[in-house]
Amino acid sequence: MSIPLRQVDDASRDDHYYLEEDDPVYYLREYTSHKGWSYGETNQLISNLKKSMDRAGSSDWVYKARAILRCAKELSAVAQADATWVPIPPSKAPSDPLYDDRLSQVLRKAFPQGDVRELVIQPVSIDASHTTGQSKPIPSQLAAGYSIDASLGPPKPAVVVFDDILTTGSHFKAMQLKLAQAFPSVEVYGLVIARRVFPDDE
Amino acid sequence: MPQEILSLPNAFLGRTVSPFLEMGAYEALWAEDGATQKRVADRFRTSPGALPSELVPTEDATRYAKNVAKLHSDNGLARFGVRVHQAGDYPAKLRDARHPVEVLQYSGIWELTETRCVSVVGARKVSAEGVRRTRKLAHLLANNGFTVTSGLAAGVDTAAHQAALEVGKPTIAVIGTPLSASYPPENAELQQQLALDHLVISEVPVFRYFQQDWRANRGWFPQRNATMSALTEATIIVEASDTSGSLIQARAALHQGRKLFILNSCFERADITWPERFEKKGAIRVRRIEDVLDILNEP
Repeated sequence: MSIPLRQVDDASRDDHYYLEEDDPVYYLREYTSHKGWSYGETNQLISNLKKSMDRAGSSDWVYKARAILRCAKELSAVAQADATWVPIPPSKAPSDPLYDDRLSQVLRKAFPQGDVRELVIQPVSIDASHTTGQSKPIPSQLAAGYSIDASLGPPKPAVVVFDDILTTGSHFKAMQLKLAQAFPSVEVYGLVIARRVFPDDE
Repeated sequence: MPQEILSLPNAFLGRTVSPFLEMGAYEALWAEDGATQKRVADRFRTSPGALPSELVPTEDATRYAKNVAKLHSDNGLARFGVRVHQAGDYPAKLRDARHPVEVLQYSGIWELTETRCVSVVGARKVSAEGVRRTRKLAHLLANNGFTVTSGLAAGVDTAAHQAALEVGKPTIAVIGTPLSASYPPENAELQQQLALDHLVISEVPVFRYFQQDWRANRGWFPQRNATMSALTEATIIVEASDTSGSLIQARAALHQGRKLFILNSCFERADITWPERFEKKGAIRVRRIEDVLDILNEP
């Protein structure tokens, strides 16, 4: 029997600054963010999944492909395709050499017959929020940098926004905002491979 | 039909769980009259695959969950983690316990449960020699990649945790109080330190705990010993009397197929009989502390 998805609830919402009480966000795994600590199966999986595109061809590149497959397998075991699945757009524009479509790959492998669409795009590269030391953009700023790819047509009534990790929740909120503006009647859900947990009140 | 999808928002996400609600449901089961470890575990044995929320009305589960969050917060604990059997990030090894726990609460780095953990336990009233032995053993384990696990009680437990900290290595406490209480009270600070930078785990139902008096609450200590044993690949007893709670863990370790080590010094005492008894059942007598490592690393 597969492990059910967990819902961000009263026990976990405080770890994600921007999430509000009614935000339906689900996760497969948890990992702990702690100084000097990077052990654990989920930490490893996420770090492999996020391997930067400039590592392509290196000896450890195979781990990225395996991580993509593993995430797709876990996702397909718990969720059905009966929704429009929208990856959070990569922080780099498609023309950028560091453009990484790992989220789309996970979704397409998880739901080969499903409705997977890059409905929201990021036309101009920004620094990935996990590499920049500067203050991170708030949801409305992120949303302002997003565009809807109108050529793909309207989504199904339920849209699942997919990301690999949930930290502050800013990307989910930005997507929710953008999608609600473009398609006011759709229900927007969030789903991530792993939720980041703080061991204390950081 | 689109309308159906909207009215059943989770149809495409399969069965989903709220750990907070599950925690509340488990607390509700424990709040029932006559609830014991066995009876609560029986509820799950007779409903295989059930989540706590499937055995309790949702209103009750919600009420208890909020109640627990409030009890914790009133006692200075703002944030805590929840682990639910069958809902992810729950260590399968805990199922080896005779009456496995369905819900755990924790503070700290849960990933420490994925490391090789070894329990170091023993008497609360420990001799100076016992403290020395505990430290030597805990240093050896910690420096060789094992996570020293204990119960944060006075005596051997405290010495074991402190020894791991002394060499800058991780340690896990499986405690017999809720996360927002400490026993003995003088270990509150140590508990806080472990909760911040290490891992503190509690299976104690919070509502029930704060309802009962201290006599009834003594029962949680032996109970957590069985869980500690299941979490770890071996239990080492440094020093214990014939009536020590550590012997509960010794029994649990053997029952669960874990290695049980007893330091030689225990065998040399004339006032106790338990070491020989457990040796006959399969415990390993430790003549040199270094031997523990060799046996743990046997293929």
